[in-house]
Amino acid sequence: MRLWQKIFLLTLALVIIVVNVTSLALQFSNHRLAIEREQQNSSSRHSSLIAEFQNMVTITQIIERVTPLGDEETLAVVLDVAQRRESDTVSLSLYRDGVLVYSKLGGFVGADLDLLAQPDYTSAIVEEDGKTLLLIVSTTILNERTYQLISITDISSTYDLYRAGFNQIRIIGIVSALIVAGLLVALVFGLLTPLRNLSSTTHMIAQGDLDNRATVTGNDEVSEVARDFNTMADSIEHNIIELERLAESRRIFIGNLAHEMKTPLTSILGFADILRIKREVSDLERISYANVIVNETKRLQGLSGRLMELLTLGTPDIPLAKAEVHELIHELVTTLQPIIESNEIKLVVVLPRRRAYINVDRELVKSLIYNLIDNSLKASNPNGIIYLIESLQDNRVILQVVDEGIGIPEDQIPLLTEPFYMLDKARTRKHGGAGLGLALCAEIARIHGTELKITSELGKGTSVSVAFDEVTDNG
Amino acid sequence: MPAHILIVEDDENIARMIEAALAIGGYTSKVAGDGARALVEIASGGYDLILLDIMLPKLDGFQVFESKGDISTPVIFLTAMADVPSKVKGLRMGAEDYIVKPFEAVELLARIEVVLRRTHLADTTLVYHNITVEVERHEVTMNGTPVVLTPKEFDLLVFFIKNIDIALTRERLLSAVWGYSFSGETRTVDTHVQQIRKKLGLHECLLTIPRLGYRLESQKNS
Repeated sequence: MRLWQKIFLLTLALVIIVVNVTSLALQFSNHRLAIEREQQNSSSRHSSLIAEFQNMVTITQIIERVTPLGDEETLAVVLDVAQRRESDTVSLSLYRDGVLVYSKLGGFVGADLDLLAQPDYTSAIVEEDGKTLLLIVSTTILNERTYQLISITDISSTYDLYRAGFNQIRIIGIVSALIVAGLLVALVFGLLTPLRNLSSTTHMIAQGDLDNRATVTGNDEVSEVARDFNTMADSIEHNIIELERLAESRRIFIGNLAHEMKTPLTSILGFADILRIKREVSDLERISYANVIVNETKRLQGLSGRLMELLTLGTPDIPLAKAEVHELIHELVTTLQPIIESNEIKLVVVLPRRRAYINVDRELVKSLIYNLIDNSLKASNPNGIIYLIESLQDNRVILQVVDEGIGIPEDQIPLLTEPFYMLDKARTRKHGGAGLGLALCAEIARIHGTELKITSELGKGTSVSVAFDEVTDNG
Repeated sequence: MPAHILIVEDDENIARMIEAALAIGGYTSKVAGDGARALVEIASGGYDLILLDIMLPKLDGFQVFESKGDISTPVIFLTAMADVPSKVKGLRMGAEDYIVKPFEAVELLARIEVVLRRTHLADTTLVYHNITVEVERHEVTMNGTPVVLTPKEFDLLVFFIKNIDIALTRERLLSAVWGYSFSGETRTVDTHVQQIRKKLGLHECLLTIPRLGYRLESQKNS
């Protein structure tokens, strides 16, 4: 069963019960009041009748000058009063010493006998011939005889009213139930509309329409849920976009990788096949073809080595240790010596007087600076100068590699750290590169919580710097 | 006159390799290192076929193809992109063929041969010493006398004559003559080669290369 149906049915049932119980209780209490009023009226009429009996007997005795009046004369006076006092709704019965002497209703009233056994005064309600009668019985002594007067009031109309009331209640109940039902449907439906909207939005999002959002109206619980839902949808959409971006960059990476592998493979396979199928190969040709095969194989080897490095960098929690920067640079310069000399380039190292410490993986940072200097070498002309500068600034140790080489166009700078990006394909390939060097550097910087800052001017040179937090002695 | 082929390839080593392979097939060639230079070369004319790399600096291969305009020189794309969409794109543009890197030299020569024959630039009459083959009419004559060959023997002979002095593996012969579905049944090749040798007296020219396959020699071994 739907929620709106449940709320509707439960509320409707509750309203019907409350309306009916209340009207019934009202009806009962009204009826009881009406009966009580009838009883009071009847009983006061009865009492005045008894008083009139006594008065009329006394008056008759004074007029007739007979004291006491005879039995039959007394009875005649009483009956005279009784007959005068009877009306459509009130009839009387009179007993003398337990014997019926008068009854307008033609004598016997079923309950009379029981009532006569009662003491001085009593009243009762009886049903007879489809009528409801209120009986009041009292006993009085007149001239030493016992008279018992029963006044019978027809209160059927009160009861008829009472019964008619039930029909009214039933009609009122049905009508009010219908009205309430109509109002409830509109109300519950209206109140649950935001919930339904939320549900359809959820459905749309589940089917992949991630842009969809629930409309938030007002400030109730449902709109609170809608707001939370939207927040959740935002973060999910964000995550999915992030994942898609990651998958896309991975796809591009693998595509580039495949291309970078296929290029040397094409030369290797082609020349190897030529060596295999050609009938006569001159020494010159053989050496030239084999050279290409060896060089291209080395390129593949370098590529796989770089890939392994990138993969290693991807593993979490590379341990960092305190290292002294002068010492680090000294080690680095020693390893750089051979390639500096063979390229006929001057390396100028600038160090601050104070020794500083940084928290790093020694080998990775050396590899980072090595790669930067290697790049500068490739960009520099013979007899060019490359500067390696260490500077201390605001508790940061900045390592900077500056060259006076060919420079990089400004719009290309953001692309430099993309894997497989090559500024000049032919030049990179000639040096055996695969376009992974700066990607590696950027990754090493990222692991140390910092980043590469590259500035360059075409024809003037390039500067790449990376800043590490300085570790103080007590820290 | 041998066919003259333009090689559009930015990787120096691959370009050299293709040049060497084409030389084996008896073609002359010239290399263009980027898209712009390729367009200049194409416009200057004189090429019977263009081998066009797709990933090129300046203009990529597709752009070169579109920019060359009405020049009807047949084009074979050479590319590292093996995905179906780029293959379909290349062929739909009107390229004659699409070769995925890396490839063997013989495969390149075979594909070039097919394209040149389709564009009627390949010889329809092949002559090898005293043997003449009319490719279109499916006729073989030795010293003027017709020799009866089965269709497969005929195709095999044509393939050998077109690849003179090139060592051909059984697998390559199978895929060239029987199609790829037969790969593995290398004994079929052996029996057909023996039939050709017997019918045309090629015992000294059609040599078995141990652990490789066969080669048709341009000069008779004495």
